[in-house]
Amino acid sequence: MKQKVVVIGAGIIGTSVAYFLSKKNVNIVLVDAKDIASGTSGACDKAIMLQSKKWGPALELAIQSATLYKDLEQELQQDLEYRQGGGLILIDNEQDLKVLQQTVEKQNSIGLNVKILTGDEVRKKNPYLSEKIIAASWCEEDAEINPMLTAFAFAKAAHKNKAILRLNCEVLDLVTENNRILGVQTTHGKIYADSVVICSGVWTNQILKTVQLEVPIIPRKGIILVTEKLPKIIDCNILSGSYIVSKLQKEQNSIPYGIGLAISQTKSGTLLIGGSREFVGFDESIKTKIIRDIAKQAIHAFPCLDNIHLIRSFAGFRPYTPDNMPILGEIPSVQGLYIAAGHEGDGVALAPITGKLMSELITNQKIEFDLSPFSIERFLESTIS
Amino acid sequence: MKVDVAIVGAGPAGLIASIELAKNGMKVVVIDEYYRSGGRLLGQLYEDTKSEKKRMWDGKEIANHLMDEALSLGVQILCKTTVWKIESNCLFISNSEIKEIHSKAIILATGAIEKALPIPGWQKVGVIAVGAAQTFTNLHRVKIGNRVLFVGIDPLSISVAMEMKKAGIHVVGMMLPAPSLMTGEKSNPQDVLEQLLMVAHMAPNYFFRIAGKLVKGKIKKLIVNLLKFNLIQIMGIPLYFRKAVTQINGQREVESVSVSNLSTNGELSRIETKLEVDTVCLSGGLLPLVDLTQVANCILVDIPELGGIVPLHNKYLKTSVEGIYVAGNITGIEGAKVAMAQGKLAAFSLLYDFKIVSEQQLQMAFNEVDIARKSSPISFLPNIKIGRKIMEEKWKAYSIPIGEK
Amino acid sequence: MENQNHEKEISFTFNGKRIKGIEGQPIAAALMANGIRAIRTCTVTGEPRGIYCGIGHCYECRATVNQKRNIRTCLKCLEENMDIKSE
Repeated sequence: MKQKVVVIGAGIIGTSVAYFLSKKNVNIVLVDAKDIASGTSGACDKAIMLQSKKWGPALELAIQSATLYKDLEQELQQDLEYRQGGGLILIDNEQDLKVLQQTVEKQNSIGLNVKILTGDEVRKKNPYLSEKIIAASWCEEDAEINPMLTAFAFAKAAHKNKAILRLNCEVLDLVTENNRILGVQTTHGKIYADSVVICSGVWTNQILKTVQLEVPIIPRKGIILVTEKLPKIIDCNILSGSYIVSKLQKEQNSIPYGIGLAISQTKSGTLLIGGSREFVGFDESIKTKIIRDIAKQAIHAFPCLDNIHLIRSFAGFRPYTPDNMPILGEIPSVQGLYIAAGHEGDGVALAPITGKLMSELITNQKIEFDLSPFSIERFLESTIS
Repeated sequence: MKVDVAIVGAGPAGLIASIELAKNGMKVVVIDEYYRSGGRLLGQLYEDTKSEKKRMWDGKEIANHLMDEALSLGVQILCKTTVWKIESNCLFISNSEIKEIHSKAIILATGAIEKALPIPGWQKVGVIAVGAAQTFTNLHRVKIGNRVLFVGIDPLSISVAMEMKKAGIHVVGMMLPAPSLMTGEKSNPQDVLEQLLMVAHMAPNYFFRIAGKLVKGKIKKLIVNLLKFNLIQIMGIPLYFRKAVTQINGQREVESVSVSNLSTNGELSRIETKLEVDTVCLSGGLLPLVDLTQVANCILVDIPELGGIVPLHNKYLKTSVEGIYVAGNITGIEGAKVAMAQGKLAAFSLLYDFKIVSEQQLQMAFNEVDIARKSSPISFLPNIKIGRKIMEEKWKAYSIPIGEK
Repeated sequence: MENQNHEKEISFTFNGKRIKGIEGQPIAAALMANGIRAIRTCTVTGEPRGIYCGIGHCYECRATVNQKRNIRTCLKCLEENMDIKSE
């Protein structure tokens, strides 16, 4: 009999897991309380950035994921608006430049090609950038993709490989017996399975609490502004150094808060301008002050944006973990129960590799990647009450 | 900027509310996106069958009068200004000088927008919404085309067609949209005629007054009989209840429409003919414009009898958010007279909460809404009163659990 | 059509061509009065687009006015020597 797997969550992570599993002769049911990409994956930007990743295993994971992305459009037979346009991290002060220089040295040492450009060199790449930018790091490997198209394409390809999609179907309970998973109880009845994968991002604890577990995945609200359509002014991913320096330097357990610029232009010409970092639970409201602060940051880097229209703003919840790394692997106390969640702002970048590795893990194949740094056990001791 | 009350929408409801508030000593600002105040009044020009003194309802004149009165009472009117966010009694606006307005209370009188009536080719140059056609004809006095066809037959589109004809524009006729998921009952001749006849007793023209008299108690039979005629005319404008526009054609601008016959049940014949026109006016009905109530976190409810999704409110026009009131078409689609009475009611409701007017005065303002409804020369939705009742019930269901007396 | 009193005729340009209109009326009305109904070009299909709703909701009538993009011509009032360009 074929192995049967239930994947919970049809965001970019869940659809990727379902897709990679569907290539392995497994019966799959993909369930979601709402719709494909209706949560975080439908409320984020489109960057696949390598140079912004946390140093260590997360970066290695991102590099492997980036390789998978290169062939993904062909594999899924669909336009995903993928483009390897490179990425810039902008620096406007000497202090940040020093931190960035150290990071770039480390990145170069493992073969990631990142260069520091002077202010004039950056403006040659993008003439719209402000004179206040004194330097930037440039990585040619950085790319971009439309995350909603990608999630839908994963789901469609999985469906083509006989995966069953159950949308508007909420998981109410995990069914277990003798510390072994038996399936899930949903609003539309029970689904039995040999394995269950939780890909529920910020909503992971709602599922886990049914087996008395809790992981430190916290919703981190990020607001993104959308402008009117503009002629091409940005052709790569752009982050501000302050954003990334605070992320890379951050001490464990300190809670980041603030605004850091992340800007890119969509295929249709609108700019996506992020973003804020707030811990306010699931409150979706958008304060005008934050809209203004984000806009100010954008104008600081691109003075020409001073006179354009914003057409809307939206908030998304990133599944934040205290060490900025996702949780990938089997849950030790419940046999057959897996988790792939907590990617924070890296879900888009890490989706293909997460799907591939999880599919190998669940089907007991040999995995050529050390997943132990991503294990849930790093959090369990401290969080079980 | 700091005021006592900020009103969004300088139409009949908003202007009257501002006048009543200013009379009672409130510092009021009215904000509107359009370049001048008056709202939907501006395009209105028709015979007022319910009025004793005046035979013409000249919306622009009424708008000018209201604006003058408001200004003379010290009301500030900010035109060309969009309110784009409301955050706990602060309105964020797009205005080169003023960015924020802080107020103790807010009245949202944003009116209605037109429902889309998408038929293939509706994006072409020369296809225009009926409200825009009305404004361009009556307010801007610009000819929108040489051969104009109306798609969608309802009280509003009929009165606009007549106004256009009076202005000397050749109105080729009025037809229904071809049936689709989006058009629903607007493509069914029986439904369209039934809806028209239900409001006929208060319609602003000859045809409906005649038809309305005939109708008492035998609507169905009358409809079937009326639909046997291929041609019904009002003021020389042909109304084709049995013809549907399936497509709008033209290279750069509208050149013609494709037309098919409809059975009385709304089934489309396969035979298509072409009719040369250069302009198509679409009329899909009106929809309460509730965006700002949504932004302000007001609870919204779907009541089709009122025209669609509307903010939950009590009979004194208070919403679920403290300090936010609503008036006019945002509460349900009705005519300008009702909107004006609602503007007064919202103002009195607010004044009552500020302990400036008595309960008796509030009740009088409430009663005036019904009087206005009875004297309205035009009505849009046949079951509006049922809709108002449903709203009262929904408010009760909402307010009792939170301890409203 | 009949002329209202206190109306002042002024001149402006649309795509470089000098035409006349009434000061203070919406740009879209002035264009329509000059027989111009196609205001912009749709970036997706390349088809022309013009006035639809007339009250600033549909954004179909937008144009570049005095170098400022995406101005709704049904709301923006005409001024002497305005430079209006299709987008």
